Amino acid sequence: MSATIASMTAPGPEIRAPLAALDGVTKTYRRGGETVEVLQALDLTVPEGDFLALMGPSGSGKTTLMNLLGGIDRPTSGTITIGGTRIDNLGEAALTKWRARHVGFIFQLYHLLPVLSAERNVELPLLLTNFSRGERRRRALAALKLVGLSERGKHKPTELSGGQEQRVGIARAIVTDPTILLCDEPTGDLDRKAGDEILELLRALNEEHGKTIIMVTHDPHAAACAKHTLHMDKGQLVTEPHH
Amino acid sequence: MKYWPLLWSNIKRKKLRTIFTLFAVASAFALFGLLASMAHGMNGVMQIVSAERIQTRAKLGALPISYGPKIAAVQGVRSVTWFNGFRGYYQDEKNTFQVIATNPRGFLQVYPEISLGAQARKAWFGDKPGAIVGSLIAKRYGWKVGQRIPVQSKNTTRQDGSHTWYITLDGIYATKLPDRYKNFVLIHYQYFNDSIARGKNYVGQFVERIGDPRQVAVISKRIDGKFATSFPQTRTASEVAETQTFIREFGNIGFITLVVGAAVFFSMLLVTVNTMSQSVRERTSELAVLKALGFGRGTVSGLVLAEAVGVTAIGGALGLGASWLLSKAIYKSVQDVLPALGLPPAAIGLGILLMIVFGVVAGALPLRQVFRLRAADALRRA
Repeated sequence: MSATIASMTAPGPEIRAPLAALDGVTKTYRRGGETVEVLQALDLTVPEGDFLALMGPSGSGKTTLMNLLGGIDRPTSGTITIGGTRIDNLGEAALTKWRARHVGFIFQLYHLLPVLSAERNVELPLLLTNFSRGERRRRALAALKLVGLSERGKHKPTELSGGQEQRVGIARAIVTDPTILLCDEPTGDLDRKAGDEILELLRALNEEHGKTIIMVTHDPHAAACAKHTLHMDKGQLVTEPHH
Repeated sequence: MKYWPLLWSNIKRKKLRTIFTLFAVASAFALFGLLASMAHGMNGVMQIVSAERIQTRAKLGALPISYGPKIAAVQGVRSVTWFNGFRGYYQDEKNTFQVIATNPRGFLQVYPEISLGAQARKAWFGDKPGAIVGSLIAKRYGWKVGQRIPVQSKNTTRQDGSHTWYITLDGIYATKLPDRYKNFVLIHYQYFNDSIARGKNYVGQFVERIGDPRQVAVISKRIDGKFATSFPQTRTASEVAETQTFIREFGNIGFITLVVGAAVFFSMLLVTVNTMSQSVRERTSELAVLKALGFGRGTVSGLVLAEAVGVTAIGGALGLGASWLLSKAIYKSVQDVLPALGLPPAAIGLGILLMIVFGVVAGALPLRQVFRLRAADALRRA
């Protein structure tokens, strides 16, 4: 846990070396008899410690790009390197293992397991480690404390507000101290006040704890919290991120 | 075990549905347990019969004791025993047992499964009011060898008008037969016959031990031929044949029960499979989240299978437990007919195996959904 605590509390670094690099990434789907090109020969570099917002209209390829970065989808062509590891050619098992260690997902609809308490939800990714029950619990409580929910650990998701559910989702995403946090419309289902709190939390994770964050959003207000914003349209970058 | 909270939470997710599923599985396994108990009871009947024994009954009513020496003289008959007796009790009318009046030497020759020490044999053979009892009944009432025991009869009256039969305990026999056979009180036929007020010199049946089981038909014919012009006439058959007739009569019912039972069992399995499939379908997005979090296909599949096996194991254990209790209750009323009725350990073992197999089958079908599940697609749909 010391490594986790250290990374959670260390002062935020300045933008450093490239963490994620996409080179000529194309993604096509077969829909009916048609081939749809969702991403077209996309090149992208995300430095370590960045907080990048991905904006664009529906169907522009934002979520697909994020899924590729998170290793839950594979490119049709091109290479994806994250933290020095080429993930586009990893086998299924290796990719799953890599994802468990290096990626934290934050979803628009939180996707907490309704049958588990907040604490057990946060503990879920730690079940894939060799930590003892005590250690898992300690880390889950530390993550909950970081998102300001240490008093709500025993509550089920249905007993929490939307904002609180998203905080639990964030705690679950950071509990393994991942290399990168991927947020898919994290404030999309929240009112402005709760949304601002979540954005503030993400900003703190980035600035104070050095987490690299990539956030898909439709909301310019949310995007304004990121260090950089990237616009996408029809599977292509419209604006290169500026450093 | 670290996945147990997740598994248990999922099992409890929809309590009413889980209760109905458990009830369905428990009913199926209760039926399985009862059928297995019944089959064990049937097999048990065959285990206690001997191919070397034949039974002679009256075609109508009882047989005179005078038939005994004539039967013993039939070629091929090695020894003969005969039975009469009454339902007795000790101290309290609730403490009932069977008192069998027989000829001690003949009885022990015909039934070598009954084991009695040499000293006890000698004592019993020479002691007219003497008795031997089974190990279980001796233990139950704390009877000791040499003790004088007053046995009461309800309906059988002595010549002096009393219903008390004083017997001296000469020995306690042992046997590997089912427990029912360890609860008899065996007394001298002569003592019984001399004491009863009515029905003297009659027996319920003769049982003969023959030297060659292949000669059953011939010897039976010889015995019945000897009394063909007497009244009552006799009907002799091998113990095996008598038992097989009994089992055949039950057999048809057993077959129908088995078919119906198998159909019910299969239906219950379908209910479980359907419930599991529905449960997995409802949780597609949750399984996708687990995959996104880094749970491998194997782990997610293992969770689904473990949940299914958990449901069948809990339901199955409840069902087998219920069948054990039910067969115990039924045994009380049918112990004379099916003395070995009860849930055998082998059936419990088979039941546990079936719980696992059906759990795996029930989990395997929805598992296809898990294998096909792509986290990216499932999360997009959610």
